[in-house]
Amino acid sequence: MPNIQLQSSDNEFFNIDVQVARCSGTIKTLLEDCGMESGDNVIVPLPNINSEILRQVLNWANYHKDDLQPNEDDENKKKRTDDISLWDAEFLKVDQDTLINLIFAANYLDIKGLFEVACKTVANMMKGKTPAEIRKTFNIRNDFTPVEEEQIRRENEWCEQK
Amino acid sequence: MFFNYRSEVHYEYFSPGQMAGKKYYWRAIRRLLELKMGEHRGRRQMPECDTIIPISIGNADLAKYFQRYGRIVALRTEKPVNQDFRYKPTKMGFVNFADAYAARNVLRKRTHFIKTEAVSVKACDTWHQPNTDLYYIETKMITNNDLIPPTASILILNDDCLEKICKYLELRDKIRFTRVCNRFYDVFIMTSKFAYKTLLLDDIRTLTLWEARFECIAKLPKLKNLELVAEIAIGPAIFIELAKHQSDQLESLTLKGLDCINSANVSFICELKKLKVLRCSDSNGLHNMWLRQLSNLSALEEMDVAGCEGITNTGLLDFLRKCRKLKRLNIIRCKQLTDEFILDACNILRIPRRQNCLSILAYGSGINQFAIDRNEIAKGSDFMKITFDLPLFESRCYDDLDDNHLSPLYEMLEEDFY
Repeated sequence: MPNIQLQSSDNEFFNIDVQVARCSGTIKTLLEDCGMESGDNVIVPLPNINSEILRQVLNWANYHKDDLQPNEDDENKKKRTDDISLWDAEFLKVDQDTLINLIFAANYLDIKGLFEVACKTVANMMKGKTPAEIRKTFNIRNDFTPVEEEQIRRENEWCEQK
Repeated sequence: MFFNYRSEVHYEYFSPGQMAGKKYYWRAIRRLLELKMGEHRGRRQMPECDTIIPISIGNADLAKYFQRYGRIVALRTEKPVNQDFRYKPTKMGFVNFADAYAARNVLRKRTHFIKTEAVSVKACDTWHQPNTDLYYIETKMITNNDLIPPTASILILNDDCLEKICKYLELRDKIRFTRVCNRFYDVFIMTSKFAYKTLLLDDIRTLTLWEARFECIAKLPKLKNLELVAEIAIGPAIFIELAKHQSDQLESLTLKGLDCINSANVSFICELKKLKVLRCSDSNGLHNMWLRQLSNLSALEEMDVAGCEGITNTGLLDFLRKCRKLKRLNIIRCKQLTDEFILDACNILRIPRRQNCLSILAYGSGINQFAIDRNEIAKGSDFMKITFDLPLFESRCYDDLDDNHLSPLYEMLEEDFY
């Protein structure tokens, strides 16, 4: 199997199997469009991803390289967040910064499986929390003016527990 | 600027208006001395960085976290003297690394997260390390701005990612999501533009007392499509509330369930004057009287009464007479309708002339497609189209067909084929 090289933002090189690299929609398209599928010694620069994150992404891709590509997302499909596999759950037990960076990288590299599972993990972190708790968890500043806040509260009154 | 005996430069900070008095010099010189003493004891000058730390994080957590970057020689924390009471209480810490590279790597990120708390790091004012490419040599007093939490890492994600996360939340969590900050609010509005105009009761089942909360649904701002799927008989409560609140905006109502259509419900549904689409297929209770009542919905464009076996020609003709904007009529499996319906409908639609062509789906109804006059239909093709095929491509109409109803079509196709 031919290999290709990925170059992270901090100039570390990763020599990986093409099969693994093709988990990424972005790299797959790149290889196909540029006709580099067979050629060895291809270097793909990934200026948005540092080596620490890229290593984890490749680790994930390596484990899931034989998975079927998930179908195009179906809007009507029931959105579940409790179907994360054990391996993935263990894999995503990282600090929040890394998790966010993984989402960022998966989105950039177009790796659907990782993107979905990481988004689910973040969604699970938000579930059952009040807005204030979500802000605290993710270190987000409340940038609503009191007037706006009151207005949104009123709009959504119907769904809050009395 | 100070130099030590190895000609290494130490930058010291002057805030505007500060006098470099005796006390100041003493402090600077003591620090230099301490460094020199450290070297005498056989240690190298320690690359050091200082951090601002939330109170909840202890020294052990810090040590555990920063160890990843390199060997820590010393770590101490203290409370700042002038803590601004408007902000979360924080403390300051000083981490000495054995190796300058480790300190430099720590300083590459302005904010670190330890146990989900943000910790910002800076070079100490004694920071001078020739090995670090002068990466962060500038030193700075801690100002109030530094105490404001830095941007959250989740906000570096683009809207696609945030939308995806939002989609995985259930209704109540979505609402809370919107209330976190402006960006999240915008993301929610964006997702709801294409996903949220239809509210399925199933989604709010998890809300407390959902059965009693019909008035809440009715009060939803901007609700346009409502689909009620119920296993129990739906009482008039929801329709009373809808009539009260939504009479000016609900455009589409789909009813699926036992006895959705009864005299009380019908009289309230009639008040939803803006209704353009009404689907109540397989309502066995629906009969001519109620159909006549429903014809008061003058804005109706689509009516689905598939499988309503109580309807006969006269009732449906009266309905057509009054609903002048009707474009689509689904009478699949209405067994009581007869061939005469087509001719009479042509006459009603012809005079006075309608703007829109009415298309009728009549598969499996009592109308016999071979008995009606083809010429008559051809003449009326401007204002009425009738199909007897199974509407496979009509978005909604095949919802209510089961396999039994599909089989005749296949037989027909095969006959045609041979």
